[in-house]
Amino acid sequence: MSEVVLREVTKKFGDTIALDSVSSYFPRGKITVVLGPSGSGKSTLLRIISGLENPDRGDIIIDGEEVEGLEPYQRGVAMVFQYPALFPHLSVYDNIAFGLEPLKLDKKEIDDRVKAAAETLEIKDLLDRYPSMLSGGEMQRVALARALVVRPRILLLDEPLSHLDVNLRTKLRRELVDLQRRLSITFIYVTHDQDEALEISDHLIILNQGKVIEEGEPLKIYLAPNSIESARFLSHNIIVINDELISFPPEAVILDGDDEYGVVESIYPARGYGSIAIRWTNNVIYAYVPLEQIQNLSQGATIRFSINYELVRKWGKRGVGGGELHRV
Amino acid sequence: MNWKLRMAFIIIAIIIFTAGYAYYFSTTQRLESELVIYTYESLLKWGDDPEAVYNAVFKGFEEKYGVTVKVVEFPDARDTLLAVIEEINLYGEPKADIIIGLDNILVEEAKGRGILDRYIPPNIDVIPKDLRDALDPDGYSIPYDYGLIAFVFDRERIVLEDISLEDFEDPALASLLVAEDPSRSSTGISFLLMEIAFYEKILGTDWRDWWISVRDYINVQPSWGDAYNIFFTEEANRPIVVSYGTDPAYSFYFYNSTRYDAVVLSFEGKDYAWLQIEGISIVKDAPHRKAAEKFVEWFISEDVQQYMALNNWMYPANKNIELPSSYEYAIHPDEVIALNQYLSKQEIRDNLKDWLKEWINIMSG
Amino acid sequence: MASLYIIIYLLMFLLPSLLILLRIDLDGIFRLLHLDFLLNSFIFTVSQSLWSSILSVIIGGAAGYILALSETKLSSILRGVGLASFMAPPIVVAYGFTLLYGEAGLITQFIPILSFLGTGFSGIVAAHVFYNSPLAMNLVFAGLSGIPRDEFDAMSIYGRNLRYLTRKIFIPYLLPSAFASFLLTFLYSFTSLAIPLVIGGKPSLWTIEAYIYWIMKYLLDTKLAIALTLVQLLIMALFAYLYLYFSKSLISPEISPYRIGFLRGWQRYISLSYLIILLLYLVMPFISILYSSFRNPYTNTFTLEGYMEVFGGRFSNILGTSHINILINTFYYAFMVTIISISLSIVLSYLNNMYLNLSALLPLAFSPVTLGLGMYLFYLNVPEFRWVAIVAAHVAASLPLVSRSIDIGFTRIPKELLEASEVFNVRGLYRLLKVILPLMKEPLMIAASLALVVSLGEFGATLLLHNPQTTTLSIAIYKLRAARRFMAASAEASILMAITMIILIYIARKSGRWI
Repeated sequence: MSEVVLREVTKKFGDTIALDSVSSYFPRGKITVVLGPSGSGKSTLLRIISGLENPDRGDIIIDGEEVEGLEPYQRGVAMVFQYPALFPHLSVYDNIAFGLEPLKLDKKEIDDRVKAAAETLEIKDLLDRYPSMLSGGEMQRVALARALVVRPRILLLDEPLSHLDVNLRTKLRRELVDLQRRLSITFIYVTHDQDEALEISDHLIILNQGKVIEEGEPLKIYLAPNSIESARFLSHNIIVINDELISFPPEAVILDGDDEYGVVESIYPARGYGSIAIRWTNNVIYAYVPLEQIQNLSQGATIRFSINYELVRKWGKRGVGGGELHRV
Repeated sequence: MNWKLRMAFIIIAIIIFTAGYAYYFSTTQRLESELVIYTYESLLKWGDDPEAVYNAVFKGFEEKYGVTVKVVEFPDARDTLLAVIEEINLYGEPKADIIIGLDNILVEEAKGRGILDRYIPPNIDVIPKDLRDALDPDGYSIPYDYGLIAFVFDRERIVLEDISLEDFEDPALASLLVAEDPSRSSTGISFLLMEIAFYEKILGTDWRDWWISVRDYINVQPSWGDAYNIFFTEEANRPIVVSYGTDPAYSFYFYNSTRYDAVVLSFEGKDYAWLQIEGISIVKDAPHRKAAEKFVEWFISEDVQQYMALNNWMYPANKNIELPSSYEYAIHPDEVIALNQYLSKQEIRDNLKDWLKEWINIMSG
Repeated sequence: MASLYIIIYLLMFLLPSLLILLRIDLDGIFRLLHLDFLLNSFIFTVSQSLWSSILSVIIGGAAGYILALSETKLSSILRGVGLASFMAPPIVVAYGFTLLYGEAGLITQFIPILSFLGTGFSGIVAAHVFYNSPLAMNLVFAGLSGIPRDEFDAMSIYGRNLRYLTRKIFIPYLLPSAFASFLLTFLYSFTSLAIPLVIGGKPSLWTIEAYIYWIMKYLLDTKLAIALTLVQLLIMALFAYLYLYFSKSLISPEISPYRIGFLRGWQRYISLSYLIILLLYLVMPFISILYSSFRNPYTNTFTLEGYMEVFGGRFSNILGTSHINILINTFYYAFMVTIISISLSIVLSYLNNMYLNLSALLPLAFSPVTLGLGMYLFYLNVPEFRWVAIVAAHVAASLPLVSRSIDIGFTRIPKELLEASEVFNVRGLYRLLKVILPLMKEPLMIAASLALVVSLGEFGATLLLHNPQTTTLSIAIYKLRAARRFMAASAEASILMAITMIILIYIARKSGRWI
């Protein structure tokens, strides 16, 4: 269990700036999610924490200690990759034990740890198999087991679920949260999927073009982002009213109310909540509708709603500054 | 197994493997015998039963003197010389005790390189003095046979009479000739010197002209054996070969006809040819000097010399040997003017390398 | 690791080669310039190389083109045989050609007109074409197969007109391959030794390489040999550079032929006959050697004499050593060369340093006799090192091929796997043994096969360096042939051929890609 602090970390690859003076905090024993579109520098951030890359400038501080120049294992980190990166020539057992051998543990200890991890991740039956015989989910469990057996202080996860199908992804990420709660290891989890980020994070960092644009409690960020970029990235409604740029999450549209009215343009049913597009004044906004209500709607129908102005952010004419609540 | 142990195991295995071969190599480097002879591959191979003759000469010596002999054969006599030169140059000591086949030209090169030792065997008187002097008056090489360089032709395909070198300037004739490379063959170098002596001393013209006129038509082989093989292969259509004046005797002996006949150079009513005298020499610092001396004595004795005429197809150097009747058909050296007398040993020593380079210059064109 | 590589590299290649430069003597260069044969042999060497490369590209290229465009079962056979002839030991090729097309050869005794294939200038070119046309064939085949499927489909949708497609797609794609195979063929033909010595015979048909050998061996004139070596080295360096430059565009011949079946009707028959003739041309030398290893040419009977002589293991007067010693030498050298070459290449891939990688390609510019000459000057003053000199020359000769093959395998290891090992503190030698080598099993085996084949067939350097006790199969074949021991020579050649074939079949089955 450790905390990580980054101070003004900068990394360039040639002319492109991957990380631009990033300072952020990864709290002890929590899940911190780094969210960002592809190319935002989030993987680089992870690799710099792990020690696979060295920053051009800035400090990485783990538990109050500057770790520059330390090798990954010296930092007490383990990592799970986007692709499971299992060794095809080693059995599941040997793959899990892979990181233990350099620790010079005795055979019994290794065996115990491998078996325990396999138990935790429910892959006990697979120990004699080879990676080519496993499904995608099984592989990622093995990769997780391999990372956990070395008892890292920090577990780095680089979009570990992005290659799995949707159902499995949902299942596994809940398991991941459970696992973290049980082990209380500091997780640093990189993803581009905002649902995933909101679902599992204790602490959220949003990265865009190498810069931290949000950092803090996930729900707060979601409901009240600090910049127009985050609002856009979080798929908020962004509209111009009276020459003013404003944004609010779809949740701010309350269909029970009757302050405003608009026309239903499109209906997108989904599990749990569907969403609808509403033409309102000159804009199109999106709102969530519980599934049982969505079938009562029809395209072209007029719909009455209210806006929860507590969730509206105002960005001024140029879309900068703001943060005050306004009545439109 | 621990990986470090495994690594160590592999490295040790490789070291042992290398050391094993190094040891094996050092054992094969020594030719395990009490006498090592270098010679050319066709020595005594042209009789009725080459194996019997080989046994009589080499095994016979082993039995008589209780010495084991190893014979190493090279494509040509010059290769034996080159091998010994390399051994002495690189390591300061030879592996061979004896070289059989250095002739009156190669012996000059060998002496120039200082790789031979003098040795006069006790039975030296069986060899005529003039022959010894013609090969090497100092005794670095003892004659064992001799013969004339001649054009040998196949009567069934062509007949040559009163011919001289200039006749080959006709492409039609040159296209029928196969000769030997003087840089690699002792027969070839004898032929080159014959040509040089004849052009420079008898005709008084530049020796290079002849080669320039024939180079595009003549077939040059690396050794006498190769050349003879081409000569025998009728499809190759080379019915004339640079070989020896004794070949008609060979033809008569085996085919009872002089189908394979020989001519020397005919010029203004006189016959000219190059006399090649082959000798046996002891290598300087020979590892088995005593046995080597015995072998030289043995090789010029009647026990061995009796085989020369019908197996090496040259005149035996030993004067006590009676020639077989087939030798009536051979050209005896006494019947022709030896061109050797026109090139002094000094001249050969001084110019041999340049002549060879000139020759290659011409032939590369 | 790096220092280990550098030490071995220095000993096995660089120091001996530098020694050649150190021993440059103005006198040698001066004399060289006054010798006509320099110019003559230069003209001959270049002109035969040009002929060989142009004909190889045309003959092989046409075959590759047909193979790619027609659905034929001949494809895998022809490509297999092509690999065999491309990698065949040079002495075996030269010997096979003289057996077939030489004086009274197996074929020329029935069809005398074909003797141009086994004698003189045309014979040398014919043997080089035998050697190199499969290279052009494979590169052209691979080049065509590498055309992006989409691009090809997009073109074909508007009509599958062969002439149009050839002009618009095939030719632009093929040009780099054709040029690279031209350069490589030129390089190989330029330094050919066994073929001009055996098929050419006379000095006007000797390459510069043959002259260097001849000057060293028969004129005993080291200075002159070194001077000529320099001339050759300069020309080689130029072509090796050009080849490396142009071969960059050839890295990905993953073969997935389209099997379009473009050629129909009479076109198909003519194309197939062409392939069959080429196949016969490539196969015949091997068959002739096998045949003549059982046939006594003097008695015209079939016997096992040749094999009995070879496997009897007795002392051979011609070779100056026992046949069994020759087998031991050949296999031992091949084995050592493989271990050293592979180890060096692994270290290279592992270090992944640009300069070190370049260093492994440097021997490409050194002809076999040049390598031999360097080793001769460096090692041969100590009798015990003669075999080391031979092994070193073989290592240097195989290093460019082997390191390239291993490097390709190395770059194909997924990056994540290497990072994963780093995260788990599996590094250094341990990572090499635990992760990298197991993942590279296949490229390693292919590289090992290449090293074996190069060492087994090496002729030029060994010819210069060997003495009777260090004779290898290649040299034994050369000597036995010169002494007209045809059965023993053919038996040795058949053995060498059989071993090489087994290895090559392995390579062919493991990867469609060669060189």
